Amino acid sequence: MTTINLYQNQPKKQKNLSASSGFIFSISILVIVILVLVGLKFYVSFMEKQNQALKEEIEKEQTNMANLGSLEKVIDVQSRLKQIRSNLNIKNNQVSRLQMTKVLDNVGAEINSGVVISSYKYEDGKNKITMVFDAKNFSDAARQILNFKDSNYFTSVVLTSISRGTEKISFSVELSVKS
Amino acid sequence: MRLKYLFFPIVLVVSVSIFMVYIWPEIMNISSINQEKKENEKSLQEIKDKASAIEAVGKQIASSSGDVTLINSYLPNKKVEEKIIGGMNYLASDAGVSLDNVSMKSSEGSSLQNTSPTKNSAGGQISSDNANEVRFSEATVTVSGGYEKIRLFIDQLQKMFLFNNIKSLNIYKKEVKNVSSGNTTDKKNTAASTNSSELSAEIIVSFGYLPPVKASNFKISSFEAKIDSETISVLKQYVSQKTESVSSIVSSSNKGRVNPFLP
Repeated sequence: MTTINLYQNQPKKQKNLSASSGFIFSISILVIVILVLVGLKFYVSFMEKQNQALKEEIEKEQTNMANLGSLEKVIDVQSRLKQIRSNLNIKNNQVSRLQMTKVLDNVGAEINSGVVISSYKYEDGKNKITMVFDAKNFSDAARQILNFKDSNYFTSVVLTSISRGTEKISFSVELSVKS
Repeated sequence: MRLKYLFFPIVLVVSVSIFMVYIWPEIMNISSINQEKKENEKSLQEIKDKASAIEAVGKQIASSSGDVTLINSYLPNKKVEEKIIGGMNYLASDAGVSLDNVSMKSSEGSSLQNTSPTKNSAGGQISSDNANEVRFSEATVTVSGGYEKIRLFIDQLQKMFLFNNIKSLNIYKKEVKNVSSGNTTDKKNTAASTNSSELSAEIIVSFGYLPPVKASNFKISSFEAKIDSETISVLKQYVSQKTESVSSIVSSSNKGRVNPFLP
């Protein structure tokens, strides 16, 4: 028995169905994209409003803070302490600024017998000490200069002048305190 | 029928175009807005924290009025020439040196020498606002005496109960002049001797004062939520207590004269 399939319109119907579902899919994509765009616009506007409100609150809090009664007193005390700390150069619970007596003691520790200081000048801005010495002879003067050069406390030792007087040798030395 | 087939790619192109042109910039915008929001929230929290810290530090200051008095006495808010002169005179007599001369002049602006994160014109660790800078009265003091006494005076001067900075120190042998008159009145033989142990010291000291710091001159961002107790304790140990009483000595002087031109 021979069987003949006479139904021929079936593929055409399927083709129509897939075309209409593709159309719906396309429309859906477009609608979703537009919905996302609209949603984003709303969200951005909402976020911007929130940011603006935050900024206003910050300004308000700043104004409130400036009007705090204790603010000026606190700031005044803190500023004074900052200046004092800086001037005394406080580090590790100790005053680290240069003590004039410490410099004098270190100068004294380096002075040879046969040499005396006739004048001592310390200038803070230049961190420079200028001293004029009287020595019995040139040898004492040379030893004195060497003492300063070997010192662990002083640096940049420069002999600026040396001359023989009637009874003594006079010489001048410039040096700095090691930082 | 053909239009139906063409519709999908057209819609796809349109959708991608809308995404690229409108949606993507909005997404980027959201991330920047979110970032801004986070920063604003952080700032707001910091301000709130600072406000509560200010109140806490304010209470701490109010409870330690002795420390505040110490700070205000050491770095006063106005010129205190009377304390400077009184203090130096007191220290000179205490050290046993002769106070030969004191001269004073005002110098505006800071003249500190130390280093800091924010250096001022003179190198001090000072805020950037000029209104918050230390101002100085410069004193030149000349004393004479033995070396040990001068050394003691210098030590006490540096530890004086006033914000100070020794700018220059000049120690030299005091010239002792022996003046002897001859037979004729116009002939004078003047001889200078420098062999004496007497020394003279000329010291230039800057004494600082800080006008009251206004909140408007202060950067809130530089506010620290604590009081520097280390500086207070070091200051208490460092300064000479001798000159603390000078201000009371100066203020308790007798006053009131009928004829101010007569001694």
